Amino acid sequence: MSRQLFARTPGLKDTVTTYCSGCGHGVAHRLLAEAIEESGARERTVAVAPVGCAVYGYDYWNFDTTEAAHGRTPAVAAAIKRVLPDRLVISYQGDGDLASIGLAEIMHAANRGDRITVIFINNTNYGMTGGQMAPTTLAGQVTTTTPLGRDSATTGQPLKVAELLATLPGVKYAARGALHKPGLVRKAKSLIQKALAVQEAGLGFSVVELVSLCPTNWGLTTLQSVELVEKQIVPVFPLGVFKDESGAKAE
Amino acid sequence: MSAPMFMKGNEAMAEAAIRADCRFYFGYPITPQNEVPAYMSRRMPEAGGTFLQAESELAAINMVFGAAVAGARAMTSSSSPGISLKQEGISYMAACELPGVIANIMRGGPGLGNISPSQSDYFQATRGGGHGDYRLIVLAPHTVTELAELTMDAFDLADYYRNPVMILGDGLLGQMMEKVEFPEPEARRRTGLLRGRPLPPKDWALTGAQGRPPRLIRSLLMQPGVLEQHNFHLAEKYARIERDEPLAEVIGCEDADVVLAGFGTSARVAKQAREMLRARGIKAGLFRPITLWPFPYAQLAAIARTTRRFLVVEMNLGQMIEDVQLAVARERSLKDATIALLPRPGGGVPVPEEIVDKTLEVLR
Amino acid sequence: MLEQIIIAGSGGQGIQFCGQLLARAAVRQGLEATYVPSYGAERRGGPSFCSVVAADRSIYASLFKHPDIFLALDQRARNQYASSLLNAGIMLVNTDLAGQPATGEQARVIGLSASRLAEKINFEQPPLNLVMLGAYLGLDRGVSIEAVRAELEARFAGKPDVKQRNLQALDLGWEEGRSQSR
Repeated sequence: MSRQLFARTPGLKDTVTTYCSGCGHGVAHRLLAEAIEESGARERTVAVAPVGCAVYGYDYWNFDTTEAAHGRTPAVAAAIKRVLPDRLVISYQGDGDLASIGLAEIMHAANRGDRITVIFINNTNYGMTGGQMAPTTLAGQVTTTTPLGRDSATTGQPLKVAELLATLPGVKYAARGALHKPGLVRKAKSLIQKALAVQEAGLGFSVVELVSLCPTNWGLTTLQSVELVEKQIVPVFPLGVFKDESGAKAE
Repeated sequence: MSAPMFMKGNEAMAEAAIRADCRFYFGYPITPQNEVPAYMSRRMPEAGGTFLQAESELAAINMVFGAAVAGARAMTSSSSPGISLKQEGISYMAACELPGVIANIMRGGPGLGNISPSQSDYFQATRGGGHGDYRLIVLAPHTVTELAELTMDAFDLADYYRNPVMILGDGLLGQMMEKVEFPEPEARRRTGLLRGRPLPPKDWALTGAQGRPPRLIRSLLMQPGVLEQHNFHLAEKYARIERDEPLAEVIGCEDADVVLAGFGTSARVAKQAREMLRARGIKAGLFRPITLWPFPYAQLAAIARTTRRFLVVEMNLGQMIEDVQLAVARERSLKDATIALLPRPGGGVPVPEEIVDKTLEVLR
Repeated sequence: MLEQIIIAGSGGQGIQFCGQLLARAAVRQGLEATYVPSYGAERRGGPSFCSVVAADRSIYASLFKHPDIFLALDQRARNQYASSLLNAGIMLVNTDLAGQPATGEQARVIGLSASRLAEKINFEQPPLNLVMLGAYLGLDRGVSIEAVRAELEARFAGKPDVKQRNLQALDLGWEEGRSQSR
């Protein structure tokens, strides 16, 4: 007699994603959807989708979703939360949306301590538009707008969002996880669960940054991408919990 | 002319800017103009210039403002939603009388829309777009070579008039590849829109007040009457531009029973439709404004003396048609004229057959 | 002479390279040419399609309703575009991947086993696009194979092995196209 050990979460629609093979979005969507669904919050959730590869998140997420103009996602989320304070409000963003054009919006949502949860997918480039430099691009990394490699002297060092946001008093939970190994995938889910719990308890702003993969724009196979994340990206973007004022017991 | 090359519109535009001595480019990725920053990131440093990917389109236009303040030729490019972000900066540049070139490679809108070609930012470009009473010189190319030529002209006109200039292209022109001939810059200053006029020195630029009184660039004019005066000064400049700069391409309108009107890509397709109509014995003409602001009202009005039927073909819900109506109304009552519209909004590009079919309908 | 050509298949089959090559070759030959790419939303494996016009006069419409020529590299492409050709049009079909007629087809079909021919040249990365392009050139509609060869020579000057394989693929297709057009 067979026993079902695993199923698609009801937090996701019963459909196939069109993300590139090896992309981290599919995994991140699943973890977020599972965390939401398992806490019974699916029908109370309102998500804001970014401009970027995950603009189509609403095709996959089985909860209310709105698009926002590029970078304005946290502002839109902040307003939704003020109108519907008892809903679970999620802002899901990529490198351009959160760390470049939307830097003012995320800083102010975080500084206000807006009771929203931000999921930040960091793959060190702008995926949807073909692989341009992002604020998170590594020094020396070749992209379509840094053909000779990112020159830190003129374009700066990679921006570390989780650490930056953790400095703000309004932020009650800030963590960085990764998606390139099974153990880290499980850990990422627990980071998301903590973040959602912080919102549900009305404590303040919560953010989970997830180091992801973009084989297509990195010009690598998925396996090579996994290695790149392990060997070059994680050393620059250390994994961990940078702030946890949830009052719950430490991991 | 240098030897013809085969290039993508976006890249030809970038190359033309560099040949026109633009040495500063600020941009942000957005489809369908990503080839512009990518090309600039490689070519600008080669030419001794500066490429900077800004954090947003808003930052980019303010960087153009800054480069202009310092006396340099600077450019930014984007597509529709990004151009919306630039409106405040453009208003500031117009108010401060700063030169600069902004390229809009239009995509479907409104909102995030799609990434297909459109012409739905005509109002935004020609009616202001940003706040206050100001005008933007708007140039509309229809081939990749014309895109290169008008890009070079844009820098000259911006410097000549101390005004921002917009190149209004669309995703088809930006993405297509065809033969392009770059004019020699020296020659183009004589034969292009500058028409050989000498460029005024940039004696207003901020370079450090060494041996001279400090200069100021600002648009806040709080003293009673001062802003009003400044607005009239700008108006006088715009009146000169309206008198001296309108430009249109006119084909076969002398004996026309119907005139097709369009700009950019839709006009190019209409050229084919016109030939197909003529081949069927229908006397069709074409009116293609090249300067969208200042709109060539006088040239179109002259055509309206002898033609009373027009078909406006636009990749939007009908925007340039209002300028066509204004032009025709100079010569005849609008009740006496037929000004029909073939709208293709939301990212569609017309094909010649549909223009022909619609024209036949108009003539019935 | 005015030829409106569509090349369609899936991302990764070299559709865009092929379209650009054809347009560049036409220009090299002294013709006018335009090339317009078109992509689906997916970055890999999604539909890929381009429009090329080659003419001995100014080209006004780079996009068109009824192609004169359609190179169908796979079935999805054939299903999507075949019916847009009128009776006088010609469809070159890769019978290995696009062998099924689509609804509404009325154009003449020239089929060739392009995938297999391409695999003979390079099994790992079969130059399917060049075999199909060669077949079109074999129909001798105005763009010359010499111009395309010259473009390939110039483009791959520093990579003699790749150049050889590409030229071979082009010639294999050309033979097929010529023999079928008689």
